[in-house]
Amino acid sequence: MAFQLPGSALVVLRSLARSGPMSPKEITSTTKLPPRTVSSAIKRLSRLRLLRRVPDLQDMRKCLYGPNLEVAKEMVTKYGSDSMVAVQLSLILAVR
Amino acid sequence: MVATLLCVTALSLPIDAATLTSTQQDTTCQSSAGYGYLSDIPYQWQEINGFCHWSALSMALRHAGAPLDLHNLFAASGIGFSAGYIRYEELAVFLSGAMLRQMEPLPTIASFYGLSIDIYMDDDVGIGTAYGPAMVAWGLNYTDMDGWTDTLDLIRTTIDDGYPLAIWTDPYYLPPSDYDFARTQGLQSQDTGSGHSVLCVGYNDTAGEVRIMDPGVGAFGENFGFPNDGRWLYSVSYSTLQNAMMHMSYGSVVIRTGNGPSDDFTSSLASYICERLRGDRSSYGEGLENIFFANFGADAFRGLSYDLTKESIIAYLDDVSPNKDDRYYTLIILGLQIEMGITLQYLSYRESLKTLPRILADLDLEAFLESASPAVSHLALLSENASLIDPYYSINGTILTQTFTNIAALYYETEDLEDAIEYHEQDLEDIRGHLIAIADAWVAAADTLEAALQGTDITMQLVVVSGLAIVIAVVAILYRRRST
Repeated sequence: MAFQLPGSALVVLRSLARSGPMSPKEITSTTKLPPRTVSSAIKRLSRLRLLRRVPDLQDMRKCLYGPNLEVAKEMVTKYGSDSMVAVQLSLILAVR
Repeated sequence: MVATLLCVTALSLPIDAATLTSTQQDTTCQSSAGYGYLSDIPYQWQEINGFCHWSALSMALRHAGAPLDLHNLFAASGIGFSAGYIRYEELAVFLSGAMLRQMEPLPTIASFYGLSIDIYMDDDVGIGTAYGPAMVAWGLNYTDMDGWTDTLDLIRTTIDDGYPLAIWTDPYYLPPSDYDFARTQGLQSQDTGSGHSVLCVGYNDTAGEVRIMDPGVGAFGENFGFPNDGRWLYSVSYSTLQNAMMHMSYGSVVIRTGNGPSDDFTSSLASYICERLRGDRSSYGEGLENIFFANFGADAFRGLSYDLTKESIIAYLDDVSPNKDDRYYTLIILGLQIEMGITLQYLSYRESLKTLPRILADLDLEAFLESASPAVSHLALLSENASLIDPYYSINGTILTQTFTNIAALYYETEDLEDAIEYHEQDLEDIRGHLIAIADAWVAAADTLEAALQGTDITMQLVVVSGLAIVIAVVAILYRRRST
Protein backbone atom coordinates (compact mmCIF):
# COMPACT_ATOMS: atom_id res chain seq x y z
CA MET A 1 0.00 0.00 0.00
CA ALA A 2 1.32 3.42 -0.89
CA PHE A 3 2.60 5.54 1.97
CA GLN A 4 0.11 8.07 3.20
CA LEU A 5 -0.65 10.03 6.34
CA PRO A 6 -3.57 8.96 8.53
CA GLY A 7 -6.61 11.22 8.78
CA SER A 8 -5.91 12.50 12.31
CA ALA A 9 -2.34 13.52 11.34
CA LEU A 10 -3.75 15.38 8.34
CA VAL A 11 -6.26 17.23 10.52
CA VAL A 12 -3.52 18.26 12.95
CA LEU A 13 -1.18 19.34 10.16
CA ARG A 14 -3.93 21.33 8.47
CA SER A 15 -4.83 23.18 11.67
CA LEU A 16 -1.17 24.08 12.24
CA ALA A 17 -0.81 25.24 8.64
CA ARG A 18 -3.83 27.50 9.06
CA SER A 19 -3.29 28.83 12.58
CA GLY A 20 0.48 28.74 13.03
CA PRO A 21 2.38 27.06 15.87
CA MET A 22 0.16 25.72 18.67
CA SER A 23 0.44 23.70 21.85
CA PRO A 24 -1.12 20.21 21.99
CA LYS A 25 -3.92 21.67 24.13
CA GLU A 26 -4.65 24.35 21.55
CA ILE A 27 -4.59 21.76 18.76
CA THR A 28 -7.12 19.68 20.67
CA SER A 29 -9.35 22.69 21.12
CA THR A 30 -9.05 23.76 17.48
CA THR A 31 -9.48 20.36 15.86
CA LYS A 32 -11.97 18.91 18.38
CA LEU A 33 -9.98 15.69 18.28
CA PRO A 34 -9.51 13.75 21.54
CA PRO A 35 -6.24 14.65 23.36
CA ARG A 36 -4.86 11.11 22.92
CA THR A 37 -5.49 11.25 19.20
CA VAL A 38 -3.73 14.61 18.97
CA SER A 39 -0.82 13.27 21.03
CA SER A 40 -0.51 10.24 18.79
CA ALA A 41 -0.71 12.38 15.63
CA ILE A 42 2.01 14.69 16.96
CA LYS A 43 4.24 11.69 17.67
CA ARG A 44 3.70 10.29 14.19
CA LEU A 45 4.29 13.64 12.46
CA SER A 46 7.35 14.31 14.63
CA ARG A 47 8.86 10.94 13.70
CA LEU A 48 8.48 11.95 10.05
CA ARG A 49 10.00 15.38 10.94
CA LEU A 50 6.89 17.03 9.49
CA LEU A 51 6.56 19.02 12.70
CA ARG A 52 9.09 21.27 14.30
CA ARG A 53 9.18 22.48 17.85
CA VAL A 54 9.00 26.18 18.60
CA PRO A 55 9.43 27.89 21.99
CA ASP A 56 6.33 28.92 23.88
CA LEU A 57 7.40 32.31 25.17
CA GLN A 58 4.54 32.24 27.68
CA ASP A 59 5.96 29.14 29.33
CA MET A 60 9.50 28.15 28.41
CA ARG A 61 9.05 24.69 29.95
CA LYS A 62 6.66 23.88 27.12
CA CYS A 63 6.86 24.14 23.37
CA LEU A 64 4.58 24.70 20.42
CA TYR A 65 4.39 22.66 17.22
CA GLY A 66 4.41 24.01 13.69
CA PRO A 67 4.56 22.45 10.23
CA ASN A 68 8.02 21.79 8.83
CA LEU A 69 7.60 22.94 5.24
CA GLU A 70 11.15 22.10 4.22
CA VAL A 71 10.74 18.46 5.17
CA ALA A 72 7.33 18.41 3.50
CA LYS A 73 8.96 19.60 0.27
CA GLU A 74 11.66 16.94 0.62
CA MET A 75 8.97 14.27 1.01
CA VAL A 76 7.16 15.45 -2.09
CA THR A 77 10.43 15.20 -4.02
CA LYS A 78 11.27 11.82 -2.51
CA TYR A 79 7.93 10.12 -3.12
CA GLY A 80 7.08 11.92 -6.36
CA SER A 81 4.43 14.55 -6.94
CA ASP A 82 1.82 11.98 -7.94
CA SER A 83 2.23 9.89 -4.79
CA MET A 84 -0.53 9.83 -2.20
CA VAL A 85 1.53 11.56 0.49
CA ALA A 86 2.63 14.27 -1.96
CA VAL A 87 -0.97 14.97 -2.87
CA GLN A 88 -1.91 15.13 0.82
CA LEU A 89 0.93 17.51 1.66
CA SER A 90 0.33 19.67 -1.40
CA LEU A 91 -3.30 20.12 -0.48
CA ILE A 92 -2.60 20.96 3.14
CA LEU A 93 0.65 22.87 3.05
CA ALA A 94 0.66 24.12 -0.55
CA VAL A 95 4.09 22.57 -1.10
CA ARG A 96 5.03 21.04 -4.41
CA MET B 1 46.55 8.32 45.01
CA VAL B 2 43.15 9.91 44.90
CA ALA B 3 42.95 12.98 47.07
CA THR B 4 39.40 14.01 47.76
CA LEU B 5 38.76 17.70 48.11
CA LEU B 6 35.98 19.38 49.96
CA CYS B 7 33.90 21.25 47.44
CA VAL B 8 30.87 23.45 47.43
CA THR B 9 27.48 21.99 46.92
CA ALA B 10 24.72 24.01 45.37
CA LEU B 11 22.18 24.19 48.11
CA SER B 12 18.47 24.15 47.62
CA LEU B 13 17.82 27.29 49.57
CA PRO B 14 15.14 29.94 49.53
CA ILE B 15 16.05 32.77 47.26
CA ASP B 16 16.26 35.75 49.58
CA ALA B 17 19.66 37.14 50.30
CA ALA B 18 19.48 36.35 53.96
CA THR B 19 19.88 32.68 53.15
CA LEU B 20 22.96 33.02 50.97
CA THR B 21 25.90 31.16 52.27
CA SER B 22 29.49 30.63 51.42
CA THR B 23 29.74 27.65 53.69
CA GLN B 24 31.27 24.68 51.98
CA GLN B 25 29.20 21.54 52.14
CA ASP B 26 29.53 17.86 51.32
CA THR B 27 32.05 16.26 49.11
CA THR B 28 31.22 16.57 45.45
CA CYS B 29 34.61 17.00 43.86
CA GLN B 30 37.16 14.32 43.28
CA SER B 31 40.60 15.38 42.28
CA SER B 32 44.07 13.97 41.99
CA ALA B 33 47.12 14.68 39.93
CA GLY B 34 45.80 14.43 36.42
CA TYR B 35 42.10 14.07 37.24
CA GLY B 36 39.35 16.24 38.65
CA TYR B 37 35.58 16.19 38.41
CA LEU B 38 32.90 18.31 40.05
CA SER B 39 29.68 16.38 40.38
CA ASP B 40 26.31 17.54 41.65
CA ILE B 41 26.38 20.93 39.96
CA PRO B 42 22.74 21.71 39.13
CA TYR B 43 22.15 21.90 35.39
CA GLN B 44 20.70 25.11 33.99
CA TRP B 45 19.16 24.98 30.52
CA GLN B 46 19.40 28.34 28.76
CA GLU B 47 15.81 28.05 27.45
CA ILE B 48 16.47 29.94 24.25
CA ASN B 49 19.32 31.11 22.07
CA GLY B 50 20.89 34.15 23.72
CA PHE B 51 21.08 33.17 27.38
CA CYS B 52 24.12 30.84 27.34
CA HIS B 53 26.47 33.18 29.20
CA TRP B 54 24.06 33.72 32.06
CA SER B 55 23.05 30.07 32.21
CA ALA B 56 26.66 28.92 32.49
CA LEU B 57 27.24 31.56 35.17
CA SER B 58 24.06 30.51 36.98
CA MET B 59 25.48 27.00 37.37
CA ALA B 60 28.78 28.42 38.63
CA LEU B 61 27.02 30.82 41.00
CA ARG B 62 24.88 28.10 42.51
CA HIS B 63 27.97 25.97 42.98
CA ALA B 64 29.59 28.91 44.79
CA GLY B 65 26.64 29.14 47.19
CA ALA B 66 24.45 31.84 45.60
CA PRO B 67 21.07 30.20 44.90
CA LEU B 68 20.49 31.95 41.59
CA ASP B 69 18.84 29.94 38.86
CA LEU B 70 18.53 31.69 35.50
CA HIS B 71 15.33 33.57 36.34
CA ASN B 72 16.62 34.71 39.70
CA LEU B 73 19.86 35.77 38.08
CA PHE B 74 17.95 37.94 35.60
CA ALA B 75 16.66 39.94 38.58
CA ALA B 76 19.59 39.72 40.97
CA SER B 77 22.13 40.84 38.36
CA GLY B 78 19.88 43.61 37.07
CA ILE B 79 20.13 42.32 33.48
CA GLY B 80 16.35 41.84 33.26
CA PHE B 81 16.05 45.55 33.98
CA SER B 82 18.84 46.64 31.62
CA ALA B 83 18.85 47.45 27.92
CA GLY B 84 20.97 49.29 25.38
CA TYR B 85 20.53 50.81 21.96
CA ILE B 86 23.44 51.84 19.77
CA ARG B 87 23.11 53.75 16.51
CA TYR B 88 26.42 54.66 14.92
CA GLU B 89 27.23 54.76 11.22
CA GLU B 90 26.42 51.27 9.85
CA LEU B 91 25.39 50.03 13.27
CA ALA B 92 21.84 50.08 14.60
CA VAL B 93 21.39 47.49 17.29
CA PHE B 94 19.08 46.99 20.24
CA LEU B 95 20.78 44.96 22.95
CA SER B 96 18.82 43.27 25.68
CA GLY B 97 20.33 43.39 29.16
CA ALA B 98 21.43 39.77 28.75
CA MET B 99 23.48 40.66 25.68
CA LEU B 100 24.76 44.08 26.66
CA ARG B 101 28.46 43.96 27.56
CA GLN B 102 28.10 40.62 29.23
CA MET B 103 31.13 40.94 31.51
CA GLU B 104 30.13 44.35 32.86
CA PRO B 105 27.63 43.20 35.53
CA LEU B 106 30.05 40.63 36.98
CA PRO B 107 31.79 42.91 39.54
CA THR B 108 28.36 44.10 40.67
CA ILE B 109 27.11 40.55 41.19
CA ALA B 110 30.34 39.71 43.03
CA SER B 111 29.85 42.72 45.26
CA PHE B 112 26.18 42.01 46.04
CA TYR B 113 26.74 38.35 46.85
CA GLY B 114 30.18 38.58 48.37
CA LEU B 115 31.76 36.35 45.75
CA SER B 116 35.02 36.51 43.87
CA ILE B 117 34.46 36.60 40.10
CA ASP B 118 37.55 36.47 37.89
CA ILE B 119 37.81 36.77 34.11
CA TYR B 120 40.64 35.12 32.17
CA MET B 121 41.53 35.50 28.50
CA ASP B 122 44.47 35.74 26.13
CA ASP B 123 44.37 39.24 24.67
CA ASP B 124 46.80 38.31 21.90
CA VAL B 125 44.46 35.94 20.05
CA GLY B 126 41.00 35.95 18.49
CA ILE B 127 38.38 38.23 19.96
CA GLY B 128 40.75 39.02 22.84
CA THR B 129 42.67 41.48 20.65
CA ALA B 130 39.58 43.68 20.56
CA TYR B 131 37.92 42.54 23.77
CA GLY B 132 41.00 43.14 25.94
CA PRO B 133 41.28 46.88 25.24
CA ALA B 134 37.49 47.19 25.52
CA MET B 135 37.54 45.56 28.96
CA VAL B 136 40.25 47.99 30.06
CA ALA B 137 38.16 50.89 28.77
CA TRP B 138 35.18 49.59 30.71
CA GLY B 139 37.29 49.37 33.86
CA LEU B 140 37.05 45.57 34.01
CA ASN B 141 40.02 43.58 35.20
CA TYR B 142 41.06 40.30 33.65
CA THR B 143 44.00 37.95 33.89
CA ASP B 144 45.93 37.76 30.64
CA MET B 145 46.49 34.12 29.68
CA ASP B 146 49.35 32.78 27.61
CA GLY B 147 47.65 30.52 25.09
CA TRP B 148 46.30 27.00 25.44
CA THR B 149 48.91 25.53 27.81
CA ASP B 150 48.27 28.28 30.33
CA THR B 151 44.51 27.81 29.91
CA LEU B 152 44.69 24.05 30.45
CA ASP B 153 46.72 24.66 33.61
CA LEU B 154 44.02 27.07 34.77
CA ILE B 155 41.34 24.45 34.14
CA ARG B 156 43.29 21.89 36.17
CA THR B 157 44.06 24.14 39.14
CA THR B 158 40.57 25.68 39.24
CA ILE B 159 38.83 22.32 39.26
CA ASP B 160 41.34 20.98 41.78
CA ASP B 161 40.35 23.97 43.95
CA GLY B 162 36.72 22.90 43.64
CA TYR B 163 35.36 25.41 41.13
CA PRO B 164 34.00 25.02 37.59
CA LEU B 165 34.89 27.41 34.76
CA ALA B 166 32.42 29.11 32.42
CA ILE B 167 34.41 28.91 29.20
CA TRP B 168 33.93 30.69 25.89
CA THR B 169 33.83 28.37 22.91
CA ASP B 170 33.13 28.17 19.21
CA PRO B 171 30.16 25.74 18.97
CA TYR B 172 31.46 24.60 15.58
CA TYR B 173 33.83 22.32 17.52
CA LEU B 174 31.40 21.07 20.18
CA PRO B 175 30.17 17.51 19.63
CA PRO B 176 26.36 17.70 20.18
CA SER B 177 24.34 17.33 17.00
CA ASP B 178 22.68 20.63 17.89
CA TYR B 179 25.74 22.32 16.42
CA ASP B 180 25.71 20.38 13.16
CA PHE B 181 24.15 23.44 11.54
CA ALA B 182 27.39 25.35 12.15
CA ARG B 183 29.46 22.54 10.63
CA THR B 184 27.07 22.11 7.70
CA GLN B 185 27.07 25.83 6.98
CA GLY B 186 30.79 26.20 7.67
CA LEU B 187 30.05 28.86 10.27
CA GLN B 188 32.85 29.41 12.74
CA SER B 189 33.20 32.10 15.38
CA GLN B 190 35.82 33.89 13.33
CA ASP B 191 33.13 34.41 10.66
CA THR B 192 30.19 35.13 12.92
CA GLY B 193 31.92 37.07 15.69
CA SER B 194 29.95 35.10 18.25
CA GLY B 195 30.57 32.17 20.54
CA HIS B 196 28.95 29.92 23.08
CA SER B 197 29.48 29.74 26.83
CA VAL B 198 29.56 26.32 28.52
CA LEU B 199 30.63 25.09 31.95
CA CYS B 200 33.80 23.03 32.30
CA VAL B 201 33.39 20.73 35.31
CA GLY B 202 36.18 18.21 34.96
CA TYR B 203 39.42 17.14 33.31
CA ASN B 204 41.25 13.91 32.80
CA ASP B 205 44.88 14.02 31.70
CA THR B 206 44.99 10.28 31.02
CA ALA B 207 42.08 10.43 28.59
CA GLY B 208 43.08 13.92 27.47
CA GLU B 209 39.52 15.16 27.93
CA VAL B 210 37.48 17.78 29.73
CA ARG B 211 33.93 17.32 30.95
CA ILE B 212 31.38 19.90 29.82
CA MET B 213 27.89 20.93 30.99
CA ASP B 214 26.30 22.68 28.02
CA PRO B 215 23.31 24.98 28.64
CA GLY B 216 22.68 25.45 24.93
CA VAL B 217 21.62 22.06 23.57
CA GLY B 218 17.96 22.10 22.57
CA ALA B 219 17.84 25.90 22.69
CA PHE B 220 17.44 26.34 18.95
CA GLY B 221 16.77 24.45 15.76
CA GLU B 222 13.81 22.31 14.77
CA ASN B 223 14.24 19.99 17.79
CA PHE B 224 13.85 22.80 20.26
CA GLY B 225 13.17 21.64 23.82
CA PHE B 226 14.76 20.69 27.12
CA PRO B 227 17.45 18.05 26.52
CA ASN B 228 15.83 15.24 28.48
CA ASP B 229 18.19 12.77 26.84
CA GLY B 230 21.09 14.11 28.91
CA ARG B 231 23.17 15.24 25.95
CA TRP B 232 24.00 18.43 27.87
CA LEU B 233 26.81 16.53 29.65
CA TYR B 234 29.66 15.36 27.45
CA SER B 235 33.42 15.06 27.07
CA VAL B 236 35.66 16.92 24.67
CA SER B 237 39.28 16.13 23.88
CA TYR B 238 41.93 18.66 24.84
CA SER B 239 42.77 19.29 21.19
CA THR B 240 39.12 19.90 20.28
CA LEU B 241 38.67 22.24 23.23
CA GLN B 242 41.81 24.10 22.22
CA ASN B 243 40.29 24.66 18.77
CA ALA B 244 36.96 25.60 20.31
CA MET B 245 38.49 28.17 22.65
CA MET B 246 41.21 29.62 20.43
CA HIS B 247 39.22 32.25 18.54
CA MET B 248 37.31 33.01 21.72
CA SER B 249 40.68 34.06 23.21
CA TYR B 250 40.71 31.10 25.64
CA GLY B 251 38.25 33.11 27.71
CA SER B 252 36.75 31.90 30.95
CA VAL B 253 35.02 33.14 34.09
CA VAL B 254 35.55 31.58 37.51
CA ILE B 255 33.28 32.27 40.48
CA ARG B 256 34.73 31.53 43.89
CA THR B 257 33.20 31.82 47.33
CA GLY B 258 33.90 34.97 49.30
CA ASN B 259 32.63 36.74 52.38
CA GLY B 260 28.92 36.35 51.69
CA PRO B 261 26.31 38.97 50.79
CA SER B 262 26.99 42.58 51.61
CA ASP B 263 25.20 44.10 54.62
CA ASP B 264 23.38 46.59 52.44
CA PHE B 265 22.27 44.00 49.88
CA THR B 266 18.67 45.20 49.61
CA SER B 267 19.40 48.88 49.18
CA SER B 268 22.37 48.23 46.89
CA LEU B 269 20.42 45.97 44.53
CA ALA B 270 17.29 48.14 44.55
CA SER B 271 19.32 51.28 43.82
CA TYR B 272 21.20 49.47 41.07
CA ILE B 273 17.95 48.32 39.44
CA CYS B 274 16.61 51.90 39.56
CA GLU B 275 19.73 53.11 37.75
CA ARG B 276 19.45 50.37 35.14
CA LEU B 277 15.76 51.02 34.47
CA ARG B 278 16.30 54.74 34.09
CA GLY B 279 19.38 54.27 31.90
CA ASP B 280 21.87 55.99 34.18
CA ARG B 281 24.98 56.22 32.00
CA SER B 282 27.42 56.04 34.89
CA SER B 283 25.78 52.81 36.01
CA TYR B 284 26.14 51.32 32.53
CA GLY B 285 29.78 52.34 32.43
CA GLU B 286 31.88 55.27 33.47
CA GLY B 287 33.08 57.13 30.42
CA LEU B 288 29.85 56.48 28.54
CA GLU B 289 28.22 59.64 29.88
CA ASN B 290 28.97 61.68 26.76
CA ILE B 291 28.67 59.01 24.10
CA PHE B 292 25.69 60.31 22.22
CA PHE B 293 25.10 57.27 20.05
CA ALA B 294 24.50 54.86 22.96
CA ASN B 295 21.35 54.90 25.07
CA PHE B 296 20.49 52.69 27.99
CA GLY B 297 17.55 51.53 30.07
CA ALA B 298 14.33 53.41 29.31
CA ASP B 299 16.31 55.65 26.97
CA ALA B 300 17.25 52.63 24.85
CA PHE B 301 13.58 52.11 23.98
CA ARG B 302 13.06 55.84 23.52
CA GLY B 303 16.16 56.16 21.32
CA LEU B 304 15.07 53.24 19.19
CA SER B 305 11.61 54.75 18.76
CA TYR B 306 13.15 58.06 17.63
CA ASP B 307 15.11 56.19 14.96
CA LEU B 308 12.07 54.41 13.54
CA THR B 309 11.01 57.43 11.52
CA LYS B 310 11.24 57.93 7.78
CA GLU B 311 14.17 60.34 8.03
CA SER B 312 16.15 58.18 10.42
CA ILE B 313 15.60 54.95 8.49
CA ILE B 314 16.70 56.61 5.24
CA ALA B 315 19.76 58.10 6.95
CA TYR B 316 20.63 54.67 8.33
CA LEU B 317 20.35 52.96 4.95
CA ASP B 318 22.44 55.75 3.40
CA ASP B 319 25.13 54.89 5.95
CA VAL B 320 24.92 51.19 5.07
CA SER B 321 24.93 51.10 1.26
CA PRO B 322 23.49 52.68 -1.89
CA ASN B 323 22.99 49.17 -3.34
CA LYS B 324 19.35 48.12 -3.68
CA ASP B 325 19.89 44.50 -2.63
CA ASP B 326 21.94 45.52 0.40
CA ARG B 327 19.32 47.99 1.50
CA TYR B 328 16.54 45.43 0.99
CA TYR B 329 18.25 42.83 3.22
CA THR B 330 19.34 45.45 5.74
CA LEU B 331 15.72 46.46 6.25
CA ILE B 332 14.59 42.88 6.82
CA ILE B 333 17.47 42.04 9.14
CA LEU B 334 16.98 45.29 11.07
CA GLY B 335 13.42 44.27 11.93
CA LEU B 336 14.57 40.77 12.76
CA GLN B 337 17.41 41.85 15.02
CA ILE B 338 15.22 44.30 16.93
CA GLU B 339 12.67 41.51 17.35
CA MET B 340 15.35 39.15 18.68
CA GLY B 341 16.65 41.72 21.15
CA ILE B 342 13.17 42.62 22.35
CA THR B 343 12.26 38.93 22.73
CA LEU B 344 15.25 38.32 25.01
CA GLN B 345 14.35 41.48 26.93
CA TYR B 346 10.74 40.36 27.26
CA LEU B 347 11.69 37.00 28.73
CA SER B 348 14.32 38.34 31.13
CA TYR B 349 12.20 41.32 32.24
CA ARG B 350 9.06 39.25 32.78
CA GLU B 351 10.90 36.62 34.84
CA SER B 352 12.72 39.35 36.80
CA LEU B 353 9.40 40.84 37.85
CA LYS B 354 8.31 37.41 39.06
CA THR B 355 11.44 36.70 41.08
CA LEU B 356 12.39 40.12 42.46
CA PRO B 357 9.81 40.12 45.31
CA ARG B 358 11.50 37.04 46.76
CA ILE B 359 14.98 38.51 46.34
CA LEU B 360 14.04 41.87 47.84
CA ALA B 361 11.73 40.37 50.43
CA ASP B 362 12.35 43.30 52.78
CA LEU B 363 10.65 45.76 50.45
CA ASP B 364 6.99 46.27 49.66
CA LEU B 365 7.08 45.93 45.87
CA GLU B 366 3.36 46.11 45.17
CA ALA B 367 3.49 49.63 43.68
CA PHE B 368 6.67 48.78 41.79
CA LEU B 369 5.10 45.72 40.19
CA GLU B 370 1.99 47.69 39.29
CA SER B 371 3.99 50.38 37.49
CA ALA B 372 6.46 47.94 35.91
CA SER B 373 3.91 45.44 34.59
CA PRO B 374 2.49 47.44 31.65
CA ALA B 375 5.83 47.09 29.89
CA VAL B 376 5.38 43.31 29.79
CA SER B 377 2.42 43.36 27.41
CA HIS B 378 4.12 45.86 25.07
CA LEU B 379 7.30 43.77 25.04
CA ALA B 380 5.19 40.67 24.36
CA LEU B 381 3.61 42.28 21.31
CA LEU B 382 7.07 42.87 19.83
CA SER B 383 8.36 39.40 20.73
CA GLU B 384 8.18 36.25 18.65
CA ASN B 385 8.30 32.58 19.54
CA ALA B 386 10.65 31.35 16.85
CA SER B 387 12.86 34.22 15.67
CA LEU B 388 15.68 33.31 18.04
CA ILE B 389 15.71 29.66 17.02
CA ASP B 390 15.12 30.07 13.29
CA PRO B 391 14.31 33.47 11.80
CA TYR B 392 13.55 31.90 8.43
CA TYR B 393 10.73 29.95 10.08
CA SER B 394 9.37 32.86 12.09
CA ILE B 395 9.63 35.73 9.65
CA ASN B 396 6.73 38.18 9.86
CA GLY B 397 5.71 36.91 13.27
CA THR B 398 5.29 40.36 14.82
CA ILE B 399 4.44 43.86 13.72
CA LEU B 400 8.19 44.55 13.77
CA THR B 401 9.23 42.01 11.18
CA GLN B 402 5.99 42.41 9.24
CA THR B 403 6.54 46.15 8.88
CA PHE B 404 10.20 45.99 7.91
CA THR B 405 9.59 43.11 5.48
CA ASN B 406 6.72 45.02 3.91
CA ILE B 407 8.78 48.20 3.58
CA ALA B 408 11.63 46.18 2.07
CA ALA B 409 9.34 44.45 -0.41
CA LEU B 410 7.71 47.69 -1.55
CA TYR B 411 11.08 49.39 -1.83
CA TYR B 412 12.43 46.49 -3.88
CA GLU B 413 9.47 46.74 -6.22
CA THR B 414 9.30 50.52 -6.63
CA GLU B 415 12.87 51.56 -5.73
CA ASP B 416 11.29 54.50 -3.92
CA LEU B 417 12.39 54.18 -0.31
CA GLU B 418 10.63 57.30 0.90
CA ASP B 419 7.30 56.17 -0.52
CA ALA B 420 7.75 52.64 0.84
CA ILE B 421 8.30 53.95 4.36
CA GLU B 422 5.50 56.51 4.15
CA TYR B 423 3.10 53.78 3.04
CA HIS B 424 3.79 51.93 6.31
CA GLU B 425 3.93 54.98 8.55
CA GLN B 426 0.97 53.85 10.65
CA ASP B 427 2.71 50.55 11.45
CA LEU B 428 5.89 52.39 12.39
CA GLU B 429 3.88 54.70 14.61
CA ASP B 430 2.34 51.68 16.35
CA ILE B 431 5.82 50.24 16.98
CA ARG B 432 7.06 53.57 18.31
CA GLY B 433 4.03 53.68 20.60
CA HIS B 434 4.92 50.31 22.11
CA LEU B 435 8.54 51.38 22.64
CA ILE B 436 7.59 54.65 24.32
CA ALA B 437 5.10 52.82 26.55
CA ILE B 438 7.88 50.45 27.64
CA ALA B 439 10.20 53.38 28.36
CA ASP B 440 7.52 55.14 30.40
CA ALA B 441 6.81 51.98 32.41
CA TRP B 442 10.53 51.53 33.14
CA VAL B 443 10.86 55.08 34.46
CA ALA B 444 7.70 54.70 36.54
CA ALA B 445 9.01 51.39 37.87
CA ALA B 446 12.29 53.02 38.90
CA ASP B 447 10.41 55.81 40.69
CA THR B 448 8.21 53.40 42.64
CA LEU B 449 11.12 51.13 43.51
CA GLU B 450 13.02 54.12 44.80
CA ALA B 451 10.00 55.14 46.85
CA ALA B 452 9.72 51.62 48.25
CA LEU B 453 13.36 51.77 49.24
CA GLN B 454 13.00 55.15 50.91
CA GLY B 455 9.97 53.91 52.81
CA THR B 456 11.94 51.10 54.35
CA ASP B 457 13.85 51.26 57.56
CA ILE B 458 17.38 50.87 56.30
CA THR B 459 18.69 50.02 59.74
CA MET B 460 16.36 47.03 59.77
CA GLN B 461 17.83 45.87 56.48
CA LEU B 462 21.29 46.02 57.96
CA VAL B 463 20.16 43.63 60.62
CA VAL B 464 18.17 41.33 58.38
CA VAL B 465 20.40 40.71 55.42
CA SER B 466 23.19 38.90 55.98
CA GLY B 467 26.88 37.40 33.27
CA LEU B 468 27.82 35.59 25.22
CA ALA B 469 24.78 34.63 22.79
CA ILE B 470 25.77 33.27 20.87
CA VAL B 471 23.98 32.30 17.86
CA ILE B 472 22.14 35.52 17.23
CA ALA B 473 24.70 36.71 14.72
CA VAL B 474 24.60 33.29 13.12
CA VAL B 475 20.87 33.28 12.57
CA ALA B 476 21.01 36.58 10.73
CA ILE B 477 23.72 35.19 8.47
CA LEU B 478 21.77 32.00 7.91
CA TYR B 479 18.67 33.96 7.06
CA ARG B 480 20.44 35.86 4.32
CA ARG B 481 22.18 32.78 2.97
CA ARG B 482 18.94 30.85 2.75
CA SER B 483 17.17 33.75 1.13
CA THR B 484 19.72 34.29 -1.61
